[in-house]
Amino acid sequence: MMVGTGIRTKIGLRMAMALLVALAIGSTELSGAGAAVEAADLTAEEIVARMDANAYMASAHLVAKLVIRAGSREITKQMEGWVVGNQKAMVTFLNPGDRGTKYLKLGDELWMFFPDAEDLVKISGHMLKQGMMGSDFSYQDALESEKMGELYEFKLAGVETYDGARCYVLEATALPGKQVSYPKRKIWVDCEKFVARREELYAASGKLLKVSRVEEVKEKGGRTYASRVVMEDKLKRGSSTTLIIEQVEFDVKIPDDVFSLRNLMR
Amino acid sequence: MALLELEGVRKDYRQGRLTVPALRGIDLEVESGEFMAIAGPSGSGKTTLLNLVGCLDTPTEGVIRLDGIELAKLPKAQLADIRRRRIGFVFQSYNLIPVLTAYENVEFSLALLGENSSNVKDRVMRILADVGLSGLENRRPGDLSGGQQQRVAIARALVKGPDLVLADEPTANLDSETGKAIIELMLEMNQKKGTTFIFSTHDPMVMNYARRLVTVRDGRVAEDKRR
Amino acid sequence: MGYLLKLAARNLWRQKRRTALTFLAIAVGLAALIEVDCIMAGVDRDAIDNLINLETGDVRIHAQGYSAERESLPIDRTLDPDAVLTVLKDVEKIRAATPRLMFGARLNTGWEEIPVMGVGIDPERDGQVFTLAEYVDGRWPARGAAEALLGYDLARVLELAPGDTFTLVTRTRDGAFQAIDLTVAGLIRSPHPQVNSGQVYLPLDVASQALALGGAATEVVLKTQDGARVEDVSRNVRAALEDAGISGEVLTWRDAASDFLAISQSKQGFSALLIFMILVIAVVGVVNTILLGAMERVREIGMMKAMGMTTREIVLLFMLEATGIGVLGSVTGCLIGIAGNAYLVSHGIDILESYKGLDIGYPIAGVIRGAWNWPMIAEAFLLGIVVSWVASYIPARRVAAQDPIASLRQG
Repeated sequence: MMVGTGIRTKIGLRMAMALLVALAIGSTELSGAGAAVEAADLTAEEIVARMDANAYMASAHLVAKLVIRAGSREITKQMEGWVVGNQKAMVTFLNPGDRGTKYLKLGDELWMFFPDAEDLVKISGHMLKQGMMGSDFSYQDALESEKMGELYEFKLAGVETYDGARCYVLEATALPGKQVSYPKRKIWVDCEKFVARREELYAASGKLLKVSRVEEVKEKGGRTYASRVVMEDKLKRGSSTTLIIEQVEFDVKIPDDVFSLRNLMR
Repeated sequence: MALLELEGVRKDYRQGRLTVPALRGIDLEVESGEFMAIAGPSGSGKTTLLNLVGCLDTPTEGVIRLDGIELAKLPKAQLADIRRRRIGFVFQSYNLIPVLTAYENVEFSLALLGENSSNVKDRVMRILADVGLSGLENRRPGDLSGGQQQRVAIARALVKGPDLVLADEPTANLDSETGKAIIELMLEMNQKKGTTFIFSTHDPMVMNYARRLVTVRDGRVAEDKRR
Repeated sequence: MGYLLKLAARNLWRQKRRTALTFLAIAVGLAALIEVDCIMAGVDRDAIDNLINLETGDVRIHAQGYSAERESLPIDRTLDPDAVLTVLKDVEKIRAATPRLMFGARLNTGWEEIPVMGVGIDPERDGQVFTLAEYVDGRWPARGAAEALLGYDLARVLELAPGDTFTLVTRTRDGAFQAIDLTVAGLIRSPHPQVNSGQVYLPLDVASQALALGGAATEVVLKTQDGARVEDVSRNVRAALEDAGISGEVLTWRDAASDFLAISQSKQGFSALLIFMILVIAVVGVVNTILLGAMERVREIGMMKAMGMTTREIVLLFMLEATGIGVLGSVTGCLIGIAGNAYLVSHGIDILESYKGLDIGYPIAGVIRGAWNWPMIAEAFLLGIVVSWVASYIPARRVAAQDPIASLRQG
């Protein structure tokens, strides 16, 4: 792949991933008033199971904005996305610089389309695994469809108040034999809504690499979702990516051909 | 048998579309040992005649025989060989090789024959002495007078012992005194060595030395006088 | 032939100025060819030296299948260095061997991040095979220490100095993110640009552990004894590895030198251009000399023909004159070339000097030294002569074909 395309790919992908990740951790269904369970009664595994279950959604259609800060520079990207479960996702960019650039995830395949070059790229095999040397996200991360509980062993480290909400603090360690990008994670899970409020991602050496924080939560149609998520790269001073969900509809019917290569190239 | 026989020799030159006749039918016989002048006004065909006899050119019509051999039938290489061995040339403007000394100019004539035996030096020195150039052997043509240059040319023509020496206006570039000396030298060589000389001239003084005077006019032999 | 040679020499002498002009033009062309080739040979030699001394060693061993994926710096095809080193002990003509671990990484300083090549080295053995240690400004890292050597240019771009810390971000063999905190122990100012601009050297044990490789390396590099043929050694190593049941790939530095093909090709291209220019100079000069000479000597040529000289002899005469020019040009050109070479070999060209005031941030070893390439000098010598000889044929033919009668009538 050409170097130029590589860089574009990486930046674009990072944004798309931010969106997908945020969707996965940010939406949950309110199970009605008084559904909250007392904290002390749950084991780490139970907390994770509830979180995984709540993160699942049938489908969603949304319009979002990404604000990328690197030092004093700030770039804003506009995009529209369609998601069905954790198997299908389509993201298309709307801002002038990237208009027409699209990403399509189908199970464990990832496709990209760049309208300027009329270039369709499938990320697979070797590229998937290597990704970009040491980059924030590998393509593999984008395709990680497995539930957290299948990849990590969790330990309940305690209960803390985080950002005004009671949270379980979970420490996750990758299960032997599972290929994960972050061998260690620390997650703050809202005791009532079972939404992750904060997550810390660690390297194999134990060094903190990234932190994602939910800054704002909104409700729509009986669901709670994280409408503003900030991801910080802890190795780069002043570097962050903020995802702001501006419009969202849950459980909408999305025609299957949205998630097709033909649509990708249109 | 005559050394040289010309029968009905015609020579035409083409000038564009025009055919210009230079010789219009020459019949001539030259015996070995003759000292013959060809006279006539310029453009009369003297030089053309000498060129034909000297195997530099071939006639348009007619036959030229040297020692009974018809020249027109010989290939170029053989004509060159005849020029090299049997014919000596002397030119109006000497035509010595400027980068060679008098000695080397004469020696060149033998070198063309592939002669490099020890007697080459003797032969060259002797002929240079014969033409009166002893002591000037190492001069280059540029350092010799016109008369001296023509003497070198005569030595060059004679050193190989040719049957025939052809001289085209050999005295024309020389003052009358020197011209006279040159023609006397040629005559001396003719008598001493028996070499046949044919020379063209329009100088009456030079003609007087000739034993046979052939006058050419309009491409024809107008007169053939022996004395 | 003897008298033709004499005549040719005299004629050349007669037109001293024209002869000199022509043969000097050829000489300058040939000298340029020789100089350029000398520098190229020097650059080639330096480049190969750098390659062997800083990158490939004489012979190196990879795990099976490594070379095919070499570009992506795979770390899932590794060797157990101890096992390989044990096998190498019994192979003849090896002076030293050292393991290395190459991996892709991003060097992160906290505000900047750029891709680099991480190189795990065995601090005790590396110097026996590579010359890296000669170029270090600072301290050589110790086994087990979280220390690194950085290329000088890399350090400059990132504004890192000895004592500073940085993080190497990479992935372990299993794909997990890894961040290795390291302290700059020293900077490398080597004559190998890539080493200076993109390499981070750290102790092999530190790197291997961080990448979850358990001490494994991606290559074992060895230096052969003087005079040993790398092909022979690599064959023996291959056999020894096979006997020990280790499947690996054994490559010589020549296999890696394919990158140099590009240099060699451009070198050939440049030489070809020079040769072409010399051809043009020689052809134009020689043709001009012959035609001018012939024009001045029309009557002389006519006289020679009249005297019975054959066309072939006249052609030969003019070709001898041209060849004389070629010989003079070749001798002079080669003498100038050899003198220039002697200087280039002993003093070299200071490329820093030429770039003074133009800070290109490229402090590579400042002097390029030439190398002797005698076959090329011999080729240049023959080139001058042969070209002159060949170029003279057609004009000489034309001159010799003149009609003697017309020639004599002129003037």
